Amino acid sequence: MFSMVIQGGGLSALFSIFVNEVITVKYGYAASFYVYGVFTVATAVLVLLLRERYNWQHYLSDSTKQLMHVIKQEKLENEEDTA
Amino acid sequence: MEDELAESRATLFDKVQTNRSRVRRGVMCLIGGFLINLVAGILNSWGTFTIYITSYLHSKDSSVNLNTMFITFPVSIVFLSTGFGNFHLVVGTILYHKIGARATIAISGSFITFSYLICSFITDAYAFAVIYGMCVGFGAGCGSFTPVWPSWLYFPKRRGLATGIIMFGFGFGACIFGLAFTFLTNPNNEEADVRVKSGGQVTFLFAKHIADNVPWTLRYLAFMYGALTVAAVLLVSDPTVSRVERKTVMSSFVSAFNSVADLQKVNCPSRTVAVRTWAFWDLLLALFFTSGYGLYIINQYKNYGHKHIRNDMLLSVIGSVGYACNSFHRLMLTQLMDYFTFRQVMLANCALQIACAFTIDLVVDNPALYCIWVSVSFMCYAGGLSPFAVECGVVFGHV
Repeated sequence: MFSMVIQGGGLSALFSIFVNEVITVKYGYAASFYVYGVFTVATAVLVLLLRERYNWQHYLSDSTKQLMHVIKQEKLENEEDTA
Repeated sequence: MEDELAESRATLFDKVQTNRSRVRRGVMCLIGGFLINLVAGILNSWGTFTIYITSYLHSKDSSVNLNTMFITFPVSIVFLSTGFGNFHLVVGTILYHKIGARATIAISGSFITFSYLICSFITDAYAFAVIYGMCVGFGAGCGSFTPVWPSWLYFPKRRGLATGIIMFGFGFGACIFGLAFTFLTNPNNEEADVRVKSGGQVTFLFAKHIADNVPWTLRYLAFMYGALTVAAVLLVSDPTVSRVERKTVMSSFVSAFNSVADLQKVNCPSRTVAVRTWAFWDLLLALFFTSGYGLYIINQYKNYGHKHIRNDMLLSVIGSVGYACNSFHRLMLTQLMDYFTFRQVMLANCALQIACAFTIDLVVDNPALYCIWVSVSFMCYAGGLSPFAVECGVVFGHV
């Protein structure tokens, strides 16, 4: 998943061309730094909004759920046999 | 009886010899990995090089200015994301599996070396930006992580240390080659005094006699990169292990991150499912917003500094200190993530970055303070990247 998330960095690099052309050229370097300061505030908000715990069980397809159930049953039977 | 004893002694001696040889080859692999990362690390030096290269291209075409050349670094980063961002899935793995570590490193180093050679003959700004950006970005992306895999096979119990030594070269390369470019192009530390107007801003470039040194500097550096690449290719070697063992080690890179996550829970079933969740877009947007400042300041710290500090060598030194801090911070962060949560690390990083972004304009006239602000900004850039890899493991159950 990181390989997909890191594309945000690539997009940011492309967006910096826009910041340079529009903000740095017209208003100077300081204005661009302020824009990125505001961007960092947005990062902090996004980090606070991030929910780390997802119950991925809900996202499994029915066939996968069935497969997991079968595996679980087999494991239980094996344990019983061993006992 | 004596025969049996002699035989067991001989077997023991053989084992010790094999182990010694394995360790020796492992150490050579670490040195080789460090060397190729020195070469790959020049990607981040663009902020130091840009003013000289722009001065040279401006002397050939007066319409070229610092804004024209700004695109080079973003192009490099986009190609780095292609090579490095997907390293364990696409380019790195495919090359490593198909042709081995040596050949992958040779390709990576050749991309960078030949791009410098070709660029030394180019006088068109856009051609320069595209060729330099593509080749350096892709070369750095492919080569920097490749030596880590064989090093894990040599030192299965010291993976963290092996990765640290190899990846340290990435930051150190930017640090030394930034200074080398300055020494070769502007040995007398002359001021950038050619005023060039770009949009509403006045920027400074170097006079023609300094700018004319750029092609030869690029060729000298290409020679150095070539030499380092050859040394790295000779030093790095794949240990003789089975295909299964190799695959296990490579997949353990993923499981190293997975250990952070609770392995008992069900992981995200597929990428398609992940993309439909808020967590994915939250992380992607957070990375988009946080990396912008670092990417911008790495690209512009010297151009901005030249407007206030009239000392070229000092600005190069400031950049090198910043790259060194960036490198150390990368190493430190991997340790910090064991003790603090993603939220704590990122909020601390954001607080530092916000403070730097809003106050850097107040300190730019003071070289010592500017050095501190640039170093902290470079550190924040490193700090805004590595925690995301770990967090992907926590949220989705796999990197």
